[in-house]
Amino acid sequence: MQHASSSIKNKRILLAEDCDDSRDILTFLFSKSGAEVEAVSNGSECVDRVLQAKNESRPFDIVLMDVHMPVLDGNEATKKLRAQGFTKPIVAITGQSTEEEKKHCIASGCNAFVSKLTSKDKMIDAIEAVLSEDSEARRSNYEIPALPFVPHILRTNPEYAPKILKFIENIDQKVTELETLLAVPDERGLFELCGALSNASFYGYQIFADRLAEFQKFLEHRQYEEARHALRLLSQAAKSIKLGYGQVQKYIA
Amino acid sequence: MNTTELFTRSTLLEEDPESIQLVLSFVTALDSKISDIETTIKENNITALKQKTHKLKGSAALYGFEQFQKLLQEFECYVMMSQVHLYSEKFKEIKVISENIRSHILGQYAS
Repeated sequence: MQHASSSIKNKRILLAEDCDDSRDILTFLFSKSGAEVEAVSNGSECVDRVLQAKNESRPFDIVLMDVHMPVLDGNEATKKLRAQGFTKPIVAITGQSTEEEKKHCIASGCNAFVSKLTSKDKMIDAIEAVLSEDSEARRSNYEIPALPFVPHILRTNPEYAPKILKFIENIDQKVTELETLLAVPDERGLFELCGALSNASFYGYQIFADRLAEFQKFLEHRQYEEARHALRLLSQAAKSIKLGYGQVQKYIA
Repeated sequence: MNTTELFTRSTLLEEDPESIQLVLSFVTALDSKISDIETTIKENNITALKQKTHKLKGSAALYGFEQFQKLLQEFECYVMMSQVHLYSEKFKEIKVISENIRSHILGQYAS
């Protein structure tokens, strides 16, 4: 089973997996696909190794993160990595494949979720898909992009320019309002405000829209701790949109 | 293919013969993992039982023992539901299958 893996070949993979058997076989499979694989056995070691590799100017291209690990589990390690500014893909790999767990992984900052119970080919395909993702879109999830984003709709429908500008002008204030409402928590106010922000998808701010949907899901389930984390990611996406204000103005002019 | 062959086949090994050494190591250590789970059942330590089963299920899948993984998944479900009678019965089946895997793989591939 030799994968002709263009995206994964020569990529530096950090695998965090506490189970020796799983660690060995995953290392074997990804190495055979042409990747350079390093492995650690818990979330804490993973966070340390990512930082160390960055300092050595040999950063990892992707982290494959088991969810259930001792010392620091995969979700907590992912949150730490994102908080430290790690913007490369993190893929959760686990034997559990419930929707609940998947949502938790994504809310923690993982880009994707792969089940160990799936076939090896599908697992590698999923990881390649993440590696092939548009890097700008991925960056805007976790950090303020260097180049502000001009929504595609402006290129095709310039008449939306005033509405988009107004949306950008108000976005950080709206996110601050969400934070205030969540602190209460004022459910009705939160849902109303989420509704008011739902144009994000139409305007082409898909990352923001996805984060908003994730935030709303946690609200619906009254999972306020997860909602707070989702709101932090939403706030980062809002900052990214806000930075694009000048660029949008320039584009319209 | 009879039932024993179905449960003891590794799709990983079939697709990638180079994985043989890793599969042999996994199979060789299977006995101690099953014994460990048995001890955990006796100790009635449900949290540890869930964790150990979950890990073994993931490994079984990665090593291509699909039917064995499905058995472990059923066992894990019963453990999650605290169905002691059901998971105790399922574990007897798991023990037999793991022994079959061991004898089949080691018999066929260990030199």
